[in-house]
Amino acid sequence: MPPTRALMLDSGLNDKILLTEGLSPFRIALRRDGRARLSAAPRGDVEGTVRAKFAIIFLAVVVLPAVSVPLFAHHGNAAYDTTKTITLKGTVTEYTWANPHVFLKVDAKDDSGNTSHWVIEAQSTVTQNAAGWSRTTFKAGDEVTLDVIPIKNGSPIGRFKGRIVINGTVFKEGAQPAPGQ
Amino acid sequence: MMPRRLTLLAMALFAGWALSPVLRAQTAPAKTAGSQAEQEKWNNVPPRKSTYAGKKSDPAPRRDLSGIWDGATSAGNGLEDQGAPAMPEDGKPEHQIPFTPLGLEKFKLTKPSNGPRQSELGEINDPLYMCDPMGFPRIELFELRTIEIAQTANQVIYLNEYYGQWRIIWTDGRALPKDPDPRWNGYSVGKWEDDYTFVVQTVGMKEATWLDNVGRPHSDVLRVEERFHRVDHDNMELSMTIDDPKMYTKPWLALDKYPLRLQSPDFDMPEYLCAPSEMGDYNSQIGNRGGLSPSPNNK
Repeated sequence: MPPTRALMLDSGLNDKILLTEGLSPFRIALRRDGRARLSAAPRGDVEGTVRAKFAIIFLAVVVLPAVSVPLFAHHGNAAYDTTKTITLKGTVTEYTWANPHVFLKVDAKDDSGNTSHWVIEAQSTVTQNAAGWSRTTFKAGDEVTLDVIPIKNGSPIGRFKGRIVINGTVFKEGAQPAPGQ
Repeated sequence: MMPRRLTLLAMALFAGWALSPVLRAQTAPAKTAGSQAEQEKWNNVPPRKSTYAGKKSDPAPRRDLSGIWDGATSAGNGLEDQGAPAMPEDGKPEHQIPFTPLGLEKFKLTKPSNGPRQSELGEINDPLYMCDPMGFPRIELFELRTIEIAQTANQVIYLNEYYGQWRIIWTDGRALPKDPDPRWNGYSVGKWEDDYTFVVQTVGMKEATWLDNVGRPHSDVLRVEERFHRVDHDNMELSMTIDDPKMYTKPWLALDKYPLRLQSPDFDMPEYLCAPSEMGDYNSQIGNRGGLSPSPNNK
């Protein structure tokens, strides 16, 4: 769901009315113990508040952020540092066979024994299928060695570069299909 | 009481979150030798060019486009991430798009994920990033992979693997609609120019779509002409002309005899659908954290 515009109105009773695009209005009640409670706001409350109060705070918020603005495949190389290759050695914790990208989560140890939680993306399920991958290529617990192109912003995120070794066996199919096949 | 929609959404989200480790932990049963042939019938991959290069094909059937066709055997590998294959955004003089001033202005507002204007770190505003339908003609100018065509007495039915979109091309002689309510895939009519060339006209496409992956724009007066030329039994060539006087000073060729190769009639197309739930998962794991995601307020 894309982010939504919202208006927060001060109803003057130690709570707020939240008007959110696409949803019924609701009230956020601030309780004495500091917690907030959401409830439906009847229309009369909303209208009364608008008429009575002139202090309106306009917010641009991401409401219900469960599905944030989605990213499609074919984002370019701009975010990746294609001049670098990192070799990761570690244990698979999760393997996601889905679109827009198949991706792998690996707990990788560096030489000092510190663990980083990496996420490495491949291409779409269609492309990976064509490269000989399937949803059972990896599983949690596999010991892997991977060559990875890292993301520029320093997060432990990367893209498969080519070499993949799974539990000691080189994965011959390779990470990416050859172009123009 | 929470608003019902909020409650239902919260429940759905919790269910999705709770179940996802279970779904991911499932493994397929091991393929046994006896079932190998059966397993290979699904999620097919087009054969490499080398397997059929130089082989002669039977003659073309008359007035027949039907079959499963794959475009990934072209030089662009079916990706077209640099824009319309006949006019990629490569700076060459012969690939200069004839923009009108309005067309150029609209083009500059697009922030694509690929090409020389590829955007960095949260600026991309490609509508595909909202899981919007690709629309026509972008389904043929970006990621033209496998399509399936069937013919009836009054229609050509066109199915597109990438994004799972379909079109109906009417062959009953009807006129194109005048000033129709826009559709993502427009309104199409087609007729045979000769026994081996099928010409399609499409109008009424939603302005929200990009023509291609590098953000060429179109207006409500866009008219697209496709020419499907059945070369022989196994080969077809697709050409496409973009005609949009609001955006471009003259029509231009977006596809120039783009090669399509006939696949086996039992070719099972893999599925590629844009699912907001999977997008959200990818985004929270990778896209947002890696600075790959567009900013929420990008227009």
